[in-house]
Amino acid sequence: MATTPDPKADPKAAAPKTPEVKAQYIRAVYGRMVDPLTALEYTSIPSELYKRTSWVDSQLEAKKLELCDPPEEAAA
Amino acid sequence: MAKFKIQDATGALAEVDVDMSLFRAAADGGHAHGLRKLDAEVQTAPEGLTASQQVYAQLGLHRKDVSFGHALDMKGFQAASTQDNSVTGRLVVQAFLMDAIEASLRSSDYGITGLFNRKAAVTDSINGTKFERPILNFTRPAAGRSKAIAQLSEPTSMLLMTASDKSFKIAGSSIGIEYSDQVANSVSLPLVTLSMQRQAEEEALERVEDQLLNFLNGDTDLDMVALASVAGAVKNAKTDYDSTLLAGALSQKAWVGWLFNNSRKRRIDTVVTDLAGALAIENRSGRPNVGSDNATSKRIDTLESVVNPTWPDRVEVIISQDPSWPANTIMGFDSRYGYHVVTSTSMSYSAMEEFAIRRSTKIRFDAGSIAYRLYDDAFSVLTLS
Repeated sequence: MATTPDPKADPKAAAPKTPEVKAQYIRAVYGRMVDPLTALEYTSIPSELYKRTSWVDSQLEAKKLELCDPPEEAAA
Repeated sequence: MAKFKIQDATGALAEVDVDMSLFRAAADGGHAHGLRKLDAEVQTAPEGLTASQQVYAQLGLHRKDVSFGHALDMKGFQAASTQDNSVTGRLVVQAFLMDAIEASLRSSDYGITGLFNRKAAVTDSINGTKFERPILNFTRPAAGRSKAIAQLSEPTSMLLMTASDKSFKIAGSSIGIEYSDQVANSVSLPLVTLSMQRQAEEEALERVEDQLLNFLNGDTDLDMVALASVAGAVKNAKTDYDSTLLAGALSQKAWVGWLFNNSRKRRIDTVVTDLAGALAIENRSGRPNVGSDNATSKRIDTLESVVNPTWPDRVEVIISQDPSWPANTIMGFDSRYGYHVVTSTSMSYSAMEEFAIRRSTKIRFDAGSIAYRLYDDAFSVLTLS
């Protein structure tokens, strides 16, 4: 039997807490690179990693891209 | 001014003046230097020396022991009519160094400039530094096919060619040498030539690798988008061709599938990748080999042969040493339609100035060229990730 939801109940309190996803930052080690799968561009200036594709993983493994700290303005 | 004797194709000796006015006229006419103008004007025997080579020979520049100062001051030159040997000597030596550098870039072990120009669909030289890029619009012909039409009707399918609204500047790069008066008398001309050739080779290699990378990544200065933004230009070996592949590996199925894709429009005959990419191509799994095949066995078999292959017998691989070349990424193109190289002849400039107080002399050579993708359809990218 279906139960009617209590209109006074707070749905936010009932929902399980999901861990907050922390943004990752990435930069190109040698020079400008463009992900052929997403057309996202990476330079020596750290930028947020919007999508970690298999191509990005390859570059991280080859040390052509590296994960890094966010730039100062983003950290602040 | 100095008068040189040049033997033409008929064996007759023609007397030519080599001076500033010749070099000025050459610059106005779009020649890299004055002696190139002589080469264009004096027809010499095909198997013999060109006009410029004859001038160099008369100055003794071919000798290995000729000192730089000796060459500049034309001390080895014996002729009836010479005035101010120093100026002519400097002009001719500049031209000699420029030719030697260019020859080295074409024919050295790297030979990268020659290779890059050979792979270009079109190479143009323009007398100026501003270039108006043609815009080739294939939207209409690609959308339909040519068909029979009534008399005096316009064809349904037309290629549109327009000039870009924006003109592009051909930026130049320079290479220079400065030497003191003292060293000019002790160092030999071949040593100076070698030093400049080495520097020029390194620079040319970097420049060409940079241009190849720009074909992949795009260059906003040339209104060239990244291949990632070109619809259908990027394929993945695993997801598009062979689901069994691991990252960094290539199979015959994926390789031929990629070469075959879009082959109605182009035939990939050249690929650019890094060393690991080249090894992945060479070591691809499932590559046909005849090591274990007995061609004379009496078996029930038919040998198949593709009569309309859309892949070439030989795919040439250019290995890029640019550290920015992405791992597991292969860019291929059809060299018949791939890219356009535009060289500015007015950038092929050489100048020499003397610093009387410092007792030194500087020579500089400028060169400028741009390269851009002519047809995006001629390019394709294969990722191995």
